[in-house]
Amino acid sequence: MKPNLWLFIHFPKLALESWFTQSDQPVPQLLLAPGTKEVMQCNSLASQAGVKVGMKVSTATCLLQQVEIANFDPQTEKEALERLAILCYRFSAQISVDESGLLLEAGSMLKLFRGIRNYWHALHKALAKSGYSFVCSAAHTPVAAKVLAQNEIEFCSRNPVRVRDILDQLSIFQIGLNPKHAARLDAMGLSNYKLLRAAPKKELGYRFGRELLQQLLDLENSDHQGNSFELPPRFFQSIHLLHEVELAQGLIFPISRILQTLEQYLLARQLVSESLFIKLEHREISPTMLHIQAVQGLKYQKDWQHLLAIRLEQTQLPKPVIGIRVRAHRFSKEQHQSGDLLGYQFPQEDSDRLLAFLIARLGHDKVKRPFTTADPRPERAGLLVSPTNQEELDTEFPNAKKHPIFRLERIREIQPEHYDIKVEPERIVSGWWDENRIYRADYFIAQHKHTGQWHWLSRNDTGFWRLAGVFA
Amino acid sequence: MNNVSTIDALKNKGQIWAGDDWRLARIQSSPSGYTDLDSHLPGGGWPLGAVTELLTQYHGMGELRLLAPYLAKLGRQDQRWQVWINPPYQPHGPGLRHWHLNIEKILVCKASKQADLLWSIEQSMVTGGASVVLAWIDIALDKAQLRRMQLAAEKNNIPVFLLRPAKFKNAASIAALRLFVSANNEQKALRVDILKRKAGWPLEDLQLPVPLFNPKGALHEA
Repeated sequence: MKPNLWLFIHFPKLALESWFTQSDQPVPQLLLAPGTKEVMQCNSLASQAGVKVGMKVSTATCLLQQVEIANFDPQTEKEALERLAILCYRFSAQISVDESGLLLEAGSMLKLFRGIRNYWHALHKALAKSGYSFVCSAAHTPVAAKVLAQNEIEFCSRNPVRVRDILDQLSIFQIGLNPKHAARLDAMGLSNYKLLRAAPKKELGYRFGRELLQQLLDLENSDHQGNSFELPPRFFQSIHLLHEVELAQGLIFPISRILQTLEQYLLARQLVSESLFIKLEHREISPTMLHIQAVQGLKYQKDWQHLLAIRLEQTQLPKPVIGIRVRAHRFSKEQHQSGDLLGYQFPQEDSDRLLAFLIARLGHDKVKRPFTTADPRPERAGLLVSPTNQEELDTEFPNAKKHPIFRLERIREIQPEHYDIKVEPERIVSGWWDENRIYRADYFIAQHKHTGQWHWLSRNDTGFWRLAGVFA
Repeated sequence: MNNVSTIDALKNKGQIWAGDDWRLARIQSSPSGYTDLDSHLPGGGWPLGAVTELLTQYHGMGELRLLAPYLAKLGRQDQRWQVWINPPYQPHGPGLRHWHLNIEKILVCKASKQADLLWSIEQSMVTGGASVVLAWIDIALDKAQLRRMQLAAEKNNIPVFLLRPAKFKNAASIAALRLFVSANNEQKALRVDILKRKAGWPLEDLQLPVPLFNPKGALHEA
């Protein structure tokens, strides 16, 4: 059996970077530990000005002219970590979510990526795109990988001896031990890992208990992995906005971050999604809902973004937006479209794209297609239905009739003396099964004396003449 | 020699029209299904990759029946959408099927704003997702808007039919073909005036046999 390889990705500024979205003008940013008024994380601009982690917020603000401050929010951090886990799903099927980092089982993936060098490179490229700062380390045990990454040592080896050489140089406080234990060990003169490793295990067990021994064992020998991450069955992501957004177009940037995750999610599951529901949250009033429809299912960020842009162009925000929630809906298996013989044109794909564009711009209820049913009553035989509702379309009945091309949605009363009736009437009697009264009407084909139009007139038991259709 | 080549150049650009027989004019077109009409249309049918205007005094004089055989044939050959924008009444499935129209391929759109209307027409052409566009436009269009439409139609080789009220009969238009459709008191005929055609003079009072119902009968008539 080949030795294992575990990879740990540590995100040193995860909470900070998930809270503040990137802006054009970089501003020093501080994230405060809850309840303490101490700096927990700060960005590079702040540290350049002299801010250090653990500093009081009042001291930090004295150093900075301009600053953005937020409180640490564990939920935001957790959601960001899950987004990153989706991103990493391509690199390992076994992922576990740890505090501020992800653990990936990498050993079994090396064959697929043809070697560790390619794997390492591909992973770095994908993570760099995410916009988060990160440190990756790989070692033969999960704990060793984590210790290396959290100490920001970029290292990759499955050789236990080489890993040990690196670990040996770490101080007793850096190897992830209980801080109380570390302080006591330090006081005993065991100031680094090398010394600790050389100390007799029995004595250590006697003084510090099983916990410490287990930790030391895990560091170099165990393959135990924490809670494993699974792709959620549904895609649901939310972000809060740091600044209120007043214009709909301004939402494209924050939403496209989510669309990037959606792309990774769909790629990982080999699915496409047919529609997105976007909920824009406002202060005080109820949220604005946007529904974005793709016809045959999409997965790539750029395709969604295009539809989103068309939709947002038409959207008037009643109030500034403070938060966004995105839910993907109706997943289906990816279908490969066939093109023409040369593969230059994809008529079905083009048609689907046009339909998605029209729906995005005009709205769901404004784009329809004609539909026929078996019902003899004209107003039920010919309908307009949504072109994306496949279940409904499957029940179509090829009902051709000598009826006009246009029907009036609302039947209009007319004066029969304006018409020359040319053809004997067609009597339609029906509907005894689902209405209290029977549907009975005579339909006449008549030409308007003045305009010359050919109309379809109906007369029912009430004796009124109505305009029912136009032979256009 | 030099003069001749200048004239040739202008002719090639379409800036002058020589009085050749218009029947020889090479214009890409598709038969309308009405032989009497085709014999008067340049190229022998509805122009492809061009804007055609059909003007009527009222909605529903028979203009759709005039288009129906062509749309039916197109629906059998081309799987892309036939986009109908802002029809004045609700297109009725059984009646459309009677004319053998492929209703699975008809998309009925409502665009209340002018910008949406023009955008929809243009997108139908540039995405390559439509085989034909029918648009009912009651408002005046300026030259630039029509020109844009014409260029998009040309580039994507898609026919566009604008169904417009007769009040625009005398308005300038860059449409390749303009017809005025009116009723004839005979049930089986329509009166068509060709207001403008490429490589030909206008023509008045063309009597066309356009029946109320499809003479070929329906495939699945109930």
